[in-house]
Amino acid sequence: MYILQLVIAGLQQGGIIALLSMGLALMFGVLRLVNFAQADFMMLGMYGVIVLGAELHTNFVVSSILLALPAFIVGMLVYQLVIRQVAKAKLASAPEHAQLLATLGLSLVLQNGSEMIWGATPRALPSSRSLQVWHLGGLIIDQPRTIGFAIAVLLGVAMLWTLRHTHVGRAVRAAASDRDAASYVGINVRRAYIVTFGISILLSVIVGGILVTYYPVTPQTGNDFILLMFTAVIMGGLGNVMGAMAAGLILGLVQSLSQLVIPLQLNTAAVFGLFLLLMLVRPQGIFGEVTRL
Amino acid sequence: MIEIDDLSVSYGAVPALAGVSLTIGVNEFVAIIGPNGAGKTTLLKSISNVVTWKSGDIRLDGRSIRGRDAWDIARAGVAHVPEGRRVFGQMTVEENLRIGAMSARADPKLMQFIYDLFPNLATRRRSRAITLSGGEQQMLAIGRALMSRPRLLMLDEPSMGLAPALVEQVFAHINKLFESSELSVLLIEQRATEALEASQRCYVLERGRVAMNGPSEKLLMDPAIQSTYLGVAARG
Repeated sequence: MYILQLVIAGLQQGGIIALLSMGLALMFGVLRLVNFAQADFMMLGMYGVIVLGAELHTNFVVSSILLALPAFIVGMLVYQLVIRQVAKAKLASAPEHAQLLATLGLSLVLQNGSEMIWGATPRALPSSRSLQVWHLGGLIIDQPRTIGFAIAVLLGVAMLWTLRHTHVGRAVRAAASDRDAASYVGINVRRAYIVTFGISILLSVIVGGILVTYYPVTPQTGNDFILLMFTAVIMGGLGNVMGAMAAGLILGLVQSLSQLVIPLQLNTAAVFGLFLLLMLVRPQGIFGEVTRL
Repeated sequence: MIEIDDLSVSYGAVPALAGVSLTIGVNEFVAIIGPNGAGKTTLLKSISNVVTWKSGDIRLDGRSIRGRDAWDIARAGVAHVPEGRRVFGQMTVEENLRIGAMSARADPKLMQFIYDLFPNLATRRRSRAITLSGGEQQMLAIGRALMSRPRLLMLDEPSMGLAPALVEQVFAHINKLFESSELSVLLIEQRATEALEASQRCYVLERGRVAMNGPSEKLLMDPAIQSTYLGVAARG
């Protein structure tokens, strides 16, 4: 029973990491961009839900939905006004390097900006809801985490489906696969990039909306997750969205189940231990493929 | 439908094209031959506007394409089959073809036409493109371009890396296409014989300049062409 309890907790945590990592993987796969600010947009989503809850008395689901469109637009604007300009300015020998630094700078701006507005004290949703549980047999199932997990899985599957079966999804994958060849068949690659960036930011913000129901937020909360996100993206196979989803779930499970054998404080060590092992055995990641030049 | 006027392109300090002028008419089959590094690929990339020109102009239907995006030119009916095929490897054959039908000009019924034209693709429609043979990938790249129902099909070295038997097959397909539809073709080839036999008119590109041009039949007979490009030893 204890193990089952841990599995449930692991899946709940893994679902969050999975969805976060999918956004990051999508962005890397399509734009070849490593976005260090990805988790900070999640942090903004967390504050957003707290603020909306206080002002409009909306619950976290409604607040997240309200935040989705602004998040998408902000994402597109950030790409247009920051990332693309940096690439155009030829600040470094390779545009990727300049973009990398730009996202790092963006991360600092978002964190410090949030600290200016909301201060450094941790904040949480003031609802008693975060303590509500279901009793199922001998199991105690945390309600907000379960609802959050369900939303995360739904969104993740919806995203995979969109990528695979829609016109826009195919265009985005083609742009990811070969930028020039995609434009030769009439795909507006720049638009595909903008939309991808917007969707990726949207996912982060929504995850923030889910997470804040049980995880207090500070301006630096993103830092708790960014390393796990990158780990999941690399484990899944760089740029592979489905791989990132699977790896995110695995990471959550490992983090949770590791306390069966090692002290709880070492659960992060278990995650990175597994990561190191996997990189030794399968450096291309779970779903990654070896590319030969 | 395409007019190129005194076009010059450089990569940094290295000139790739130095004052090239040429035209491609409606329903005309034009070939460009020349050695490696003569600027053939750069010429196609200029028409798709993915390289920056130093001077000169390219007009599509009488209008300059300066400042137009590659995807926009593609949607205007110029299909570019790039060197090295560049199929979307992780996507299936069918997905590659559907991607080709992005433009508003596209006709969904075209897919069956392409499967009839290249039966190999039909049998492998669910396979990922990366698993296809070189010849099949070339067919797929051409098929993908045709899905947009182009007015001009630009082919960059379709014979590259293919076995001789396959090269013949590819050229036979291109000819069949040209004869059966209202299509202009711009073919770039190192295999001069095949290119000259297939095309109506030909330009010889050397070190970024047009060294010679004329009807392909005539160039095929030209002693200078024969000795340089066709591997026919000059007599006497």
